[in-house]
Amino acid sequence: MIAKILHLAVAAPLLLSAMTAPGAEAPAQEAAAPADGQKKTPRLIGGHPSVAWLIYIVAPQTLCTWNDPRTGRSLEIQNQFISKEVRDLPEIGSRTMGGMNTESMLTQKPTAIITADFVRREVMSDSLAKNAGIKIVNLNFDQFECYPDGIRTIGELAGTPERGEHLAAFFTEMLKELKNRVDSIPEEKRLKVYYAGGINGLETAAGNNVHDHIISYAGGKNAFPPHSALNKVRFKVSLEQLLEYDPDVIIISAREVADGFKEKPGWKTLRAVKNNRVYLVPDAPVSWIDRPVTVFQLMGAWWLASKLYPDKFPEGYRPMAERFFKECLQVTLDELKWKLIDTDGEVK
Amino acid sequence: MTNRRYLMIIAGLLALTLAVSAASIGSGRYPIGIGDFFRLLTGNRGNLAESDFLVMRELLFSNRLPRLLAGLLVGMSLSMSGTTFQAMFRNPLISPELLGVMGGALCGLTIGFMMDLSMAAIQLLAFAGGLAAVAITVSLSRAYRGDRLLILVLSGIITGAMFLVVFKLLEYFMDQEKLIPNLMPWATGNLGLATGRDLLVTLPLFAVGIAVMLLCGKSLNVLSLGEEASTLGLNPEQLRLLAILGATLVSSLTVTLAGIVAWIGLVVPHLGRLLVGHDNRLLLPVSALIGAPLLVLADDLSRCVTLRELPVGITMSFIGIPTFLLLLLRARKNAVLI
Repeated sequence: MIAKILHLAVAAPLLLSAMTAPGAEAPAQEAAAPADGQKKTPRLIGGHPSVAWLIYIVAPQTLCTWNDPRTGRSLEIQNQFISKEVRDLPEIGSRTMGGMNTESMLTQKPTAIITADFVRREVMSDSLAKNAGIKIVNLNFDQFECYPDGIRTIGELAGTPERGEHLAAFFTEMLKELKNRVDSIPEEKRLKVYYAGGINGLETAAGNNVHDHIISYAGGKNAFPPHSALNKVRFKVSLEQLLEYDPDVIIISAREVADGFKEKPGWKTLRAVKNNRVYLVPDAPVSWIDRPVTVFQLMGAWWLASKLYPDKFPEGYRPMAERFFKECLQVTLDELKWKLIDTDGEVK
Repeated sequence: MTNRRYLMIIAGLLALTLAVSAASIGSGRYPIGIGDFFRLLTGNRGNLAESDFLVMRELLFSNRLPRLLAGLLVGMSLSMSGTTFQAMFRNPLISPELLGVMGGALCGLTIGFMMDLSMAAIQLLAFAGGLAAVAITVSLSRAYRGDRLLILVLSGIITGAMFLVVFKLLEYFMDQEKLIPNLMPWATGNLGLATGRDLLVTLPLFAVGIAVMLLCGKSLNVLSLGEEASTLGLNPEQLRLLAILGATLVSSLTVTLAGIVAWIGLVVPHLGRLLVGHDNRLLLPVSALIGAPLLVLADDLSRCVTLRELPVGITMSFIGIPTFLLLLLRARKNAVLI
């Protein structure tokens, strides 16, 4: 037995080294300063998927990593909307759930880590990063109006302030236009919207939080009222509650829920189902409503507004989607790509 | 067991601990070569770029070293408290979790996060939660007559279930978007949570708890004889209380450093018994020297195997469950309770 322990003592470091050697990656090469004195390309890491997408939109060449495996549509479909250079970036985890691997992060030699303020506490890797000369920048995305400022900050950090300013101006204009169109709708004519989330459509987000923003910004009323007293945002609801709310419109976030939805017992009696006003939220390249909460929510609000009040959006949502994808992802929405985005007729 | 054999086992386990510690310091996703270690220790960066030197220095002294120390301390403490609880209650299935310590500590953490308290206050609440859980368990067990051990275990199960309900209730009311991401690393165990300051603050308390358990070693042998203890002139109730306090103190403290790490307190005492038998004076140090490198190894796996970091509590469960099954099979084969 003693001999076994001693053998283990000798073998342990060898075993660990063998175990970690293939995984230990060489630190990313810092872009060498060109001889003509041009600046090195900054390297940015998002603390969460929401920020990683924003960095990609502002300055794709600076994005070092994704966080978690990209959710939403299949990677094959997502990849049609993003550049080749970022498709295989390493996934080093997110600061939420304590899953970001500090060493994987440092291996990327980032110049800044950009995070969103919903992780309140400073994590240990923050002080480590600061001491190692890496900037930690916290952005607030509680309201859509916060995006332009956040985008400007990312533009500055990415060394592309003009691009940041350009996108900030686009988002400001988009929000202003959306507001102009829906603000004139009188309160009594605003439609009641139920957000059917989760795997059975019986999970929803209460009003006044980042998960229901697309409803409020689209001029709708969340069928599930805000529960500020409970300080909680996501709730399970029962079918009975739903029958009581009897929303004008239902929006579904998961494709598997949309399939066969109209034939589901109980749901058929809902006004929204009877009036054929059930919509699947677009999810290319990621969900336009939440999970993750991203800048695509702005497009989600425009999409929903066009569904709720078609008379205010006679052109539909395609023209804005084309502009949004061109500005943000630098992608032209041809018919093939449009089919991947458009969810009309997907609720069966 | 002869003294010579025991000393050989201790020396072997110490060598194992040192080897695993050295491997842990040298392992990680960020490659630091042996030459770099010398440069970092001497402070002479040589031909290393200043930015690389800075990153490596921070990584070594602010991440790998505190993690290693926390791993050693938490692994050692949980193993010793598991050994103490098992000896005290004469039950090989007892672990700190079973008496509700972890559930109580988790509730303390949750309340602290909900009240938006400082990190130190949250850690204090976790500690208080663990103590409260054991106090409730012991009080409940005293309220009933019958087989004291059985009642104690049942009380622990009731207390654990009660704290689970409280946690579920708190979870229902909490702002999940903000609290769950903050709470999750604590609930699933993460040695990266421990800072140098946390280690310094808690070290004296750990030392007290560990000393109490070591001092109780001989008495635990007597306690494990059951009612015979009273005939040997010892006050079993006082001894039991002292040992409970020591073991609870350290297991609650581990939650403040690394969140909840299960299985280690259950499995390690059994591994220790395979080496040195049931004498708790011998078993406690051996458990400490098995638990410390085991948790460090689990943490190394957590941070090295994938690009993202796995919670160490989950890695430990992956190690603990099959080990425990193997121990059970062995016990069945030998027709003895481990």
